[in-house]
Amino acid sequence: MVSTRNTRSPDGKSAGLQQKLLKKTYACVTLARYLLIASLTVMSWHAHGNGEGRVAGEHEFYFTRGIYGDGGIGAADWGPRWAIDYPKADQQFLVALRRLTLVDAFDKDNAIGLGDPRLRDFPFVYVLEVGSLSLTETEARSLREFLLAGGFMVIDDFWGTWAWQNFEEQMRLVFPDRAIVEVPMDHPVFHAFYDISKILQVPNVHQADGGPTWEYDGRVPHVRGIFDDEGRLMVLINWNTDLGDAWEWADLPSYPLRYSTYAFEIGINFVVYAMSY
Amino acid sequence: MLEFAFKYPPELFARGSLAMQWSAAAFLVAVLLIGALAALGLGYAGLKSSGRRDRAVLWTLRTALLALLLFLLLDPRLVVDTDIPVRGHVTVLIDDSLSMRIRDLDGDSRAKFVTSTFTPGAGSLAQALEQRFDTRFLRFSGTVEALAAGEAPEFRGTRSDLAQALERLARTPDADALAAIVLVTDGAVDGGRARDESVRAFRASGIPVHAIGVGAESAPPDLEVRAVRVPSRVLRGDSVEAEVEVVHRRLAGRPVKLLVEEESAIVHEQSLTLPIDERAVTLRIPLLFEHAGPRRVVFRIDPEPDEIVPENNTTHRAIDVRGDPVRVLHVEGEPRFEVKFLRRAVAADDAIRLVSLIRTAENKFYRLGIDDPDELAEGLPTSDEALFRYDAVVIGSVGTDLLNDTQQERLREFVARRGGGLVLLGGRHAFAEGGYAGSTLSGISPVLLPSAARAYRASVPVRPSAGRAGHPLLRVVGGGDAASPWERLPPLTVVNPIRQAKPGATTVLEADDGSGEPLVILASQRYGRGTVAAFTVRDSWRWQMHADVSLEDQTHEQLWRNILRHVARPAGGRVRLRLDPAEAAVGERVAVEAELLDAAYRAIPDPKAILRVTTPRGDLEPVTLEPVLERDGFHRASFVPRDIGRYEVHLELEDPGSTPVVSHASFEASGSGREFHSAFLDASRLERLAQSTGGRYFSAGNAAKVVESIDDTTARVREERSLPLWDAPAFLLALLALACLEWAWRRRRGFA
Repeated sequence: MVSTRNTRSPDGKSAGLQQKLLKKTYACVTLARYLLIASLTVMSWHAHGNGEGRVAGEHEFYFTRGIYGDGGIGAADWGPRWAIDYPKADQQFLVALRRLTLVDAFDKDNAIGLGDPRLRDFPFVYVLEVGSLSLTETEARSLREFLLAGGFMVIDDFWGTWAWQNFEEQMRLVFPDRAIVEVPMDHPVFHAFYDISKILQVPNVHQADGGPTWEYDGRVPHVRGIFDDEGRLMVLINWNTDLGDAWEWADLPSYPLRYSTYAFEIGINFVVYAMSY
Repeated sequence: MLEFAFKYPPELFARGSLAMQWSAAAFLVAVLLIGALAALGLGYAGLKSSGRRDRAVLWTLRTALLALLLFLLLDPRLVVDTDIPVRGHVTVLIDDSLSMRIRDLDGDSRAKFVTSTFTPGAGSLAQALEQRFDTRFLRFSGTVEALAAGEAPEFRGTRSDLAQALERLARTPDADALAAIVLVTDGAVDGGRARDESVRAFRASGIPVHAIGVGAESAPPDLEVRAVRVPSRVLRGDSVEAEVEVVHRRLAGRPVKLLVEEESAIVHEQSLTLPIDERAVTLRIPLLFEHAGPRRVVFRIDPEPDEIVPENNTTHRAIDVRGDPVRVLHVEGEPRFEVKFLRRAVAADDAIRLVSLIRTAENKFYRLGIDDPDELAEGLPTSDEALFRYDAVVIGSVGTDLLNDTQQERLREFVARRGGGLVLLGGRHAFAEGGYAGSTLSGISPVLLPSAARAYRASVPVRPSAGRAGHPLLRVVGGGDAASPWERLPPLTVVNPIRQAKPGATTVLEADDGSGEPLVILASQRYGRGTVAAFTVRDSWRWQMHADVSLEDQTHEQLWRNILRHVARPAGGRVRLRLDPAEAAVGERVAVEAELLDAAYRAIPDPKAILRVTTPRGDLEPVTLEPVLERDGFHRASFVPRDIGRYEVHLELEDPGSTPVVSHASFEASGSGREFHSAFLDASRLERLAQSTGGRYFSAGNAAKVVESIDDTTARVREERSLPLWDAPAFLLALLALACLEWAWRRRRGFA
């Protein structure tokens, strides 16, 4: 375990050297941790494939991850942005969903392009890192029709003003005239299975063990939505929070239980709501 | 020999019965004789001089003698029914209905012919009959009345109820002396099955009915809207198909137009060319009911210039459109997208109120669309009252662990007794795969469940069954060709392989999975008072979500609305009103039958209900409901409409602790009712009637021959005869024999 706490020695010089050494060590460990996570993510994505093994109609529910034509920031280093936390977060969420509810869920991940007509076989889609979302015209049209036909989209893991602005701009391609509004706490989506009384900011795994829980200027978490003409939620936007990391790292002993618990609870609510309204 | 001994032939004993003729004197003598028997017994018992055997023999002989004497003193009689020939009478039964005013006898009316020939004491044939026979004259329409001498029928009746007339004749005190009936009618009689039963009764009685057919042998040109089949109760927003039967005579090839009016506004027009062969043509007219309340729908064809009976070109129907929404409960044993998309499919239909109950975890339910926080708080309804508040129930993927035997029996009662609708959906916990093989639910299902569950999954294109593309359940928006919408739709998933519907069920959708035997996809049947449908697919939502289905396509929405309306429509409320007849004429008695039920849909022992009839003038006419003793929960009333127009019947049932339950019905009173429909001479029907009773048929031109055809008016009156038996020789001989035997025994034993 790496500690960042300073230890003083009687010799001030050696204490300074020791501090520098510790900083270097911490930086190396942090870098190694990031690289490990990234490589595991990419490896597991490549190893698992793209929705391998799924057969539409075999189960009632498929946790579908939306693939979008990336090109966003960091794509080269981290793999495609849509695949952050993929597939472990999806699979671990499914473990909890199957364990805690009666949903007949396909137990594997299921990634599909937002412009792929097969997306309409799966009325629930999870899309993240939308700060770098850049929809093609086909994807925007496909997404609009998916949502108007009755599909439900959950957005997660994007932080700060600039990411919001990009996402808002992209959603204007999908729905030029639909407003994005705050979802009130008495909305059924917060009570479909668990009663959620407060929106928690779920930090990424690197910030979960202390310190600030936000990234960039995204200090306040929000749950916002885009509604259809009958007042039903079509798009549920989790801004300034990272539910996916909480699902993915829930099995890490050091990951705080309150974040993973909250993430599973609200995630299950999203699924039950999506299958009911 | 036997006849000599007992006075009467043995067959008389076979069909007769023995009876005693008691009288005070006979009773007194009988008491004395019984006393004598007792004294005799005591006397012989105390006689010590003779042996026991002698005492027994003498006591037996003396007792038998006295017993026989006692029997004869009670005046035994043989009671037998015997037919006695008497001079019978002839009854002339004259049709007094409006249709007799039709002028199809060379320009003269049927009424004129009847008045000139059958007016008692004045008509030519009436006099001829009266000279030869004891003749009575009755007129019949909706009622039966005697005609006095010189009194002619008025021909105002709005019905021709021959069955009632025959029954009335059978009930008259001297019906046994009825030797023959002369029926004077155009044959346009009503009564249906009742008429047939009455005719059968007359055939059994052996009374001949001689029929005189009044009317043109060759019917004049005529067009008639003969029958209209349309539900009398619909839901608001229902799109129903009325079947209108049009017939004509001698108007082949003419183009005509059927007009349909709802509340005086033309809502549909349909042109047709009258067929060459004068067969009945059935037109299917789509009707959409958008407004709640009683609606008057008129089906009419403008009269052709050469028609002499324009009255039968119009038929009207009173239809009650239910205003409050039907309540449908959708139960799922697991979260499914069917819940979401079914809710969306009917969301815009304000005639359907959908409540969803989803088991999300083992002991956790999610409720949608509930009225109050307590509704379904414990999960499935646990009482009849709680379940019967819904009009229909949809059971999805719900295993038998949740829907146990008690719940299934409650559902069966819900359908059979309450008249609720039930839809069984496909799913991994549905049908045989849900453990329902051989269950109560399988008993009421319209499909035959396999005996055991099997692992099966197929993605299959769904199509209408042969000849069912136009079925009301499949009436969906999507082009003129009824089959085409289905061909555009993507395949659906089936996990419950069901290949047979029950014999009484109608399969409207099926699918081919390549096995050679189609899968039943959508079937329905009546069960008791309700309707049960099976929709065996797992994911009908694909017809809404799939990429091949445009956003504008309404097939999924419309199909679900059709299914829910189809099963919920017959579900009556706690007050059920029925009017008979549905189409009445002014002056004709209308019967109101009301079934009054409690919240569990059981008969209320002493209901407090108020029945009101609103006349076309807006006046309130109080009518008293009387219980029908032989049918629990049923009450009856009647009234006679006096004005032409719509009568509304309103019934309010007091419900302790709640708001009153209200129901209403309506009907149109017209000037002639159905009297001018099928009003032309039906000679073949009258011939059959006459032949089946041993009578003869005569046309109006040959009517005079009826007098000669009645050759024997001897009627046989059945009489009960009581024949005395006391003086039968056998009994006297027996008395003598017993006395002699006693004397002989005494003599032999030295006692005498």
